[in-house]
Amino acid sequence: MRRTNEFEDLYQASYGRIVALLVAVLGDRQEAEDAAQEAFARALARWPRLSTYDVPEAWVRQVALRLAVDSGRRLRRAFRLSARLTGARPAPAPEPGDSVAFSALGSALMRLPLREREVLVLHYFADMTAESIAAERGLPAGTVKARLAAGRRRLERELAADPEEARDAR
Amino acid sequence: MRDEQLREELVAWLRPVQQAPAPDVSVIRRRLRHRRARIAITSAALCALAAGTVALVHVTAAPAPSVIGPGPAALAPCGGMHLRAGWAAAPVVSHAASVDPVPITYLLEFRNTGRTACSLKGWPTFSSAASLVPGPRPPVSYGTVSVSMRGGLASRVVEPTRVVLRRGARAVAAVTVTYPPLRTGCGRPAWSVTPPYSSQSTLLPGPSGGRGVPLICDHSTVVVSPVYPAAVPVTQNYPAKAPRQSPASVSTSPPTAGAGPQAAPYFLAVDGFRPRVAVVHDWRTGRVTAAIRLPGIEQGFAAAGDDRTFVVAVDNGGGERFYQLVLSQQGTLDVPLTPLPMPPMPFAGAPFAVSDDGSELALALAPTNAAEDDEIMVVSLVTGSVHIWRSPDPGSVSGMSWADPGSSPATAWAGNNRLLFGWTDNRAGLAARQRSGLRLLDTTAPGTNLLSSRLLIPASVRVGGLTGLAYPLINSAGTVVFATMGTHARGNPRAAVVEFSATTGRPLGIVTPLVGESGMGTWCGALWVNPSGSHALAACGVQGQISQGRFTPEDLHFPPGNFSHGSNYFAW
Repeated sequence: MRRTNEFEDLYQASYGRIVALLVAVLGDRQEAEDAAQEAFARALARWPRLSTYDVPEAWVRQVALRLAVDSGRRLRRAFRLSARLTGARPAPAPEPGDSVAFSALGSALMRLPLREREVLVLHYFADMTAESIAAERGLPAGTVKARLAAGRRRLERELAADPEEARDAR
Repeated sequence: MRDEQLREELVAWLRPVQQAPAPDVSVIRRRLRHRRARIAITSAALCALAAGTVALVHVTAAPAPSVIGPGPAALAPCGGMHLRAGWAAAPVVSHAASVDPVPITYLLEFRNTGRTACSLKGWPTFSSAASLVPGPRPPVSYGTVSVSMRGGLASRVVEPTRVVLRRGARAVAAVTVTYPPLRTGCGRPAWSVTPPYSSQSTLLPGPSGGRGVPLICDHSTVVVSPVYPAAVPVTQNYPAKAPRQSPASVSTSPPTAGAGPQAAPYFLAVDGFRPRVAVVHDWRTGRVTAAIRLPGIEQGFAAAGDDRTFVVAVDNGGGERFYQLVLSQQGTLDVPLTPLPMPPMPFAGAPFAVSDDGSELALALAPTNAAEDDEIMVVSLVTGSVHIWRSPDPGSVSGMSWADPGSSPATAWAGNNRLLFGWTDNRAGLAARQRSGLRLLDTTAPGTNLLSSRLLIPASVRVGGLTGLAYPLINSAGTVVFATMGTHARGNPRAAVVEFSATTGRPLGIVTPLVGESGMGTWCGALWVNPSGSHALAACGVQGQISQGRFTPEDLHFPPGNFSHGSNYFAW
């Protein structure tokens, strides 16, 4: 019973954080909630082992992000196919869901490649260092730093591309 | 924008989401229950490696089928004394691997020799008996199955499911051995195995025990999967390869209800509100003949040439898996979904197509960490062999469609060029644009270069002001191609289906009315074509039949819903 309560505590404490993180990566709240709930379900299945971890939330976050990245690729592929028919330039990200109110920064973020968006969000929203991102995502630290730098540059460009948005953002 | 500003902006933007109350934890518990049920139902597909190799190994009479799934709880676990362990007849080399040298999978087989049924779950413990026969001792790991991808093998955790073994039934575990680039210190050591639930280990046949004993080298690794039922070979449900028809012998009469499989009276569509349910419709009457619960969320459908055999891709959280679905003449499902002998794909939602005789599956793949689908993998569902074509340049594969022109004089131009696919070269420049379009790939040819395929219709083609090529469909005789093209006038995109000659690639005409393509509900494309290409069905705002290039409106009972994202949601 105590273990079950521990899981509920973790769930209540970290669900919002993880969903917010996934919304920033995916731009779609429904997909984000789906990935987060799936990750928590997997955590519940492994809770006897996970409860012995120092930070079980890190495990849930990692699984949720992996699910979200897969989901993001699927969305993007579907969107690209549709865009090809209509002749539009394929966008790197799906259109934001209606249930997320997008700020100028959020909109610019959604125009970034998924891999850069992911590390930017982990670094600036989840307050993770490049080294810890690298360890969690199984990437070389240099790759994470390069993506961070490229993502920052691209984000600046995206914000600057629309003066009105840039003004809002500042 | 400074870093601190960026942090604050992000936090401010996401604050409403973060502070929203979490749903009750019962949601998670319910989800877990569903997940466990799904895993139990689809256990046969969890180790596709084993399934594929079973098809190769058990080519003779099928043994008494095992029961798959949770099974009666009262059944006693299989004791070691009731199980006879041994290597299966032959190892299986995976051609899918881009790893050199390729790993080899061996099957470790357990047969229930007891008098009663028993249950088996978990991994066999597996070790080299170095004290008995000298040989290298590779590290052995459990609970993972390796998926071959560019750049190496990716491992995923496989959860064991309970296998109920009737008397005489067999179960297998896949034992995958990887090798170093230079094979040194190789040998065939003796192995001992301890079945799940047992403490009694068995010495497996040694080097003199015959074929199928793993060759191990220095720096080899061994990955052992959980035990899975070695039931009826999954390939036996595939339709026998039908004799090829010459165009002259192909019926050119319009499809009519009850006229046989080629009339394609049934189509499969996902239920818009239940992504785990596939619905079979009769396009003549709109009647629903079956609603089939899928073992995961639908990721795509494809139809074979007999118009009764479909392949369904589902994602149940552990990757994309493929199942064969065969309808009866009445449009009902009389046999259960059959998992196809393919490894689970980590990239869900990729385009795929099944060959006319249902014996091969083509799948577009995205390499690791890349956004483009610039590989096509063709899997033989009969032999389990895999052939991967890779583009040397970045690009993406869109729709795929399969022709089976055979060797008739009328289609000699095509040779074995069978797989039609859309290709978009993502590099800039004229040369790259000239490579894009609809291409024909000879799936039987040697080599691995995707761009060795023939460019049939260039992406630059314009037909009456229409441009772009989407949702390609080729008839099985390989004579005509249908594709959706559109005008991209700002604010007023419109689309129509265009017919091309598959011999010359030249347009034959616009065969549907030009309709507004809002991108939000009006799907436009050819749905089905008969083998000779003389008759087709299409939906493009208005639905109807195309006969000899002439469109006649008719209610096909095309399912309502938003299919603007693609044709993954139905198959005819």
